[in-house]
Amino acid sequence: MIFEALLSGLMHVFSWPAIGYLGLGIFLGVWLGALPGVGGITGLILLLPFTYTMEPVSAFALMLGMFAVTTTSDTIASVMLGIPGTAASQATVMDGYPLAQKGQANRALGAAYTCSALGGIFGAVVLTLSMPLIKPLLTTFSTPEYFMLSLLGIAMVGSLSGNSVAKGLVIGLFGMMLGTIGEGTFNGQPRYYFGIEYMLNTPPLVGVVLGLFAIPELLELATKNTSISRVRSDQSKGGGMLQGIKDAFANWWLVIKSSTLGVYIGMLPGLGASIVDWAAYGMAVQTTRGKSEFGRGDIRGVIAPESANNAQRGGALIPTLTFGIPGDFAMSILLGALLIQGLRPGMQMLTTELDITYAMVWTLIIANIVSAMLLMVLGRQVARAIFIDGHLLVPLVIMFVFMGSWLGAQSMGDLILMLSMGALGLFMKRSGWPRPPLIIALVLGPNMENSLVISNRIYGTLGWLERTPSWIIGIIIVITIVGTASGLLRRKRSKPVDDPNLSAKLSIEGGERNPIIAIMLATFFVVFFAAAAVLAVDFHPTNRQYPIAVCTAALLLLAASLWSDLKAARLSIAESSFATTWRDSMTDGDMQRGLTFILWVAITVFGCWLIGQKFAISALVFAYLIFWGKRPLWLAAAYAAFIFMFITAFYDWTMHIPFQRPFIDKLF
Amino acid sequence: MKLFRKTLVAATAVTAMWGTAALTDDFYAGKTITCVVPYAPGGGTDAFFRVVVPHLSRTIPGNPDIIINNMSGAGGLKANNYAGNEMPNDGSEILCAPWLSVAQMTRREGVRFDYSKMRAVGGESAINTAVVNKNIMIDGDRTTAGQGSQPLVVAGLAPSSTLDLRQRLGLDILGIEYIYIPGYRGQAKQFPAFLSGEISLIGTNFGSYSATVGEALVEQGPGMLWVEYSNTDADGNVLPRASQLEELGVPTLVELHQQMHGTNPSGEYWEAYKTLNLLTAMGLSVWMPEGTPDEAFNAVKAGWEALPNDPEFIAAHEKAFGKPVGFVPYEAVAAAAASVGSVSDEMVKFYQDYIAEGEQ
Repeated sequence: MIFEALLSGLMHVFSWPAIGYLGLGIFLGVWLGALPGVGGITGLILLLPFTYTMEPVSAFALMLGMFAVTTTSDTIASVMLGIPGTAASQATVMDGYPLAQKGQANRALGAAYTCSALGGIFGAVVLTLSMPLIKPLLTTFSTPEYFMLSLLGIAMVGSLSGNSVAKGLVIGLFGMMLGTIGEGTFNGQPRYYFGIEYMLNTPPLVGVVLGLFAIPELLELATKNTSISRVRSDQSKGGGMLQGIKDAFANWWLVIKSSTLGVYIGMLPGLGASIVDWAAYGMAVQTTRGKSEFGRGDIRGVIAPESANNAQRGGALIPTLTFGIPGDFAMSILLGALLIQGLRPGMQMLTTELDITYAMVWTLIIANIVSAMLLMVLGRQVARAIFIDGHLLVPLVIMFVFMGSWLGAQSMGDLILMLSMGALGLFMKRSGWPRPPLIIALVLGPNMENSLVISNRIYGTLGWLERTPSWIIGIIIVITIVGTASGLLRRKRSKPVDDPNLSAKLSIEGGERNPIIAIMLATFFVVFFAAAAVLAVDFHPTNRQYPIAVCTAALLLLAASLWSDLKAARLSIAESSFATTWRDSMTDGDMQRGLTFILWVAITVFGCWLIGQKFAISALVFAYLIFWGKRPLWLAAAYAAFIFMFITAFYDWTMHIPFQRPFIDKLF
Repeated sequence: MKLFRKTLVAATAVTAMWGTAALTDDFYAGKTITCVVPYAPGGGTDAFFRVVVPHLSRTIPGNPDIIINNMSGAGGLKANNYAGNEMPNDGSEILCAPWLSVAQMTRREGVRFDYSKMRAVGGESAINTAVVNKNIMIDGDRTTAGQGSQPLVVAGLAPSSTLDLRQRLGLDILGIEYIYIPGYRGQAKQFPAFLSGEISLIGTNFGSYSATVGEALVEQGPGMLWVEYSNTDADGNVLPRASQLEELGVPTLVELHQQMHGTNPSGEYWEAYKTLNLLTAMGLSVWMPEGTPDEAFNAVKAGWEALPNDPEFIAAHEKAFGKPVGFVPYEAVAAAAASVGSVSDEMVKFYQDYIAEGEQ
């Protein structure tokens, strides 16, 4: 019966018009995934209304086909720009972007596409075999385990994504505090609200990601007048796409391990997409033997997360189809589509509707293979962009940054958030504070707080730690932190294998370390956490426990990181003088030009409020090309016109995004 | 003469109706309506309106295009505040939402809207029910809830949520001891917790339950449909019950009370329960902002009122949610909106305290 259903599912997918819709879905997915800030969820929302009148197989061919491949094409932004295309591709940035800077973008993309396809296929196979396991898995994990798994995710990212475990964890705690903005877990009492309606909610992820990652990378391109690659195209070595494909197959065991991990993490509601890439990355770092260059352009740092994040999509489908429990936001939309199609999640999806279920599995497999092939064909052209003059890339990316951030809550608050995070990201990058932990903590933080308070209420304060699955995860957390800390120590003692001149030019997470800026930032965090803790005292008792605990832990860790930064600053001052160290800090790495760039972004945010996004962003593009890029007037005008038309055609006419009503409109 | 007068009246009426119809037809011809949904895509509210929208576009005179704008945030407050203050009142936007009457009544922080000033178009009725773990009872006997081998642990969204208030009031009316654990944000959190045995009672809308997790919880899992929360009218009289749950043998709250105590429910919890029913006469509703012109309002209202009799919509609704359409007429929605501000101070205080008690 299973074989018949498998065959029948395949026939469904290859029947007309389903195969046509699958092709369309793949095509759209490739493009939507590649646009920073857009991604698969936006695609699902866009496509959902078109599926109302379709047959179920066609509808899911279109939606799943599109959705499955966005985690393949989002690699482009991660590798080429250092901006995580989605939450599931953050870890790829760690090694993918340094590879692109070494002129090996083709290799990174080749490996990523191959692993995405293999991971997607393997995920679909494991999905098929694992359907009977979902119920025991769901019933083994209760609320305390979801808390512990979230903690594991944050600990893993905090310790893996930089050169200091303490700093990584502080940033994780900072992200957790951002997650407490808005309504408290148990009542409607707003926290850190200050009477601003925008702050009744947790800050939208997209604005934080784009501000934190994109703005610093953009100003690097703008101020250093460079291309993404720090080496010329004729000097790049070993960077071919074929090499990437060979790398993927050479690391077949890592692909299988990561994909399996991806499927099982994907099954856990609420966790999957945000931690899956880091879990795979962490596993790769901790299980790799021999010389490794993780964080500086190790191909295995691309292979592991890219295998896992495509496999995760198959895993997330299981609880949605069999129990009606959507694992994440995207699965909620798919569940909605399932209902509109008249299908019911449950055993019938594994019995009478098994052919439909297998049609979905085939859709995942085919979409992953086709998209990888398509991207490989296009990849050669895409990868050439790393050698393009940065001034020509900045305007296009900045448009995506502004409009992508706006998708968060469609409020001016989104743009102010992006701007603030951009400024923070600049300081963090210059001073060696890792940025990824903030993102994962913001995603997992609200759920963590919920899970912690619920666990304490049901099992007694910390009584839930007696549960076997909880303490097993606790041990894994300790091993992760201790293992990573000792790995960092080993790495600091060993010499890097790169050319030292090239290393200096690379933009590596946590790689730069300006001690004065680091101390300024640490001071900012001390004030932030202290103020947040003081404000929390007035909250409802249930609402204040978590923020006070987070702030206390952060202040303790900050003491450790401040000590280390003070030591570095003292060394620098001892070598010259305080005045010289200060001046070097401010001019080092074009800090002043960086701040000027932030000012430009701030003026554009104001412009969006005054005259609306279409005109303000186009004006920024025009002015940027004239004043920063020194480009001719005609080119600047043509580029600005293109940006205006793109915003109108895509965001307005296609996505029907409500735009900011310009202030000047209200005057007339 | 009488016949002439009747004919004249009829002719005038027909002309007026035709005129109105023509005017209404004209109003939305070639226009687009934005339907503001206060939650993210994919949830129950979004799914309902995504089923409604293509058909509403057909039934509104002038056949406007309708697009959905998901304006999620602050548990629905953001979109309601928007509709109450900033939404253009030219008929181009409508609010399609669960209504937050309890938030308005209890003067929750952040509320900046007043339903009595907005224009109610209509609503959709909800059947509220509870699913319990059979282990909280003895031998599956509903009247022994709370006396079984497992304690009665109630999963909640938040103490101020209508669903949670109804749940707690129902248990208090029945006099059953329970542990209330709010903070389970949505079904995706509640159902795994139920399956793992961490919680033993969840409140749910029957439509959403039967369309999604019904089979997993009851047929494959440890659950059973325990009670249907009785609906009452504006005077507190118990209304006829939903046929679907009756066919499944699920008693109403009033019936269960009679089985357990031999009397009809009464007392302060019952009074509060009736007030809640009055305030939440419908699950989902459609609103237009204050000052919306009559021709726009009448056109949308006509479109909404046509839906329950529209065969295509009925079929689509049943296909998606597996139950017939249950619409609440405009008059009931408007009356409920008007009643929010007239709840006695004593009752408001009761609710504020009751919500605060749930937070402890």
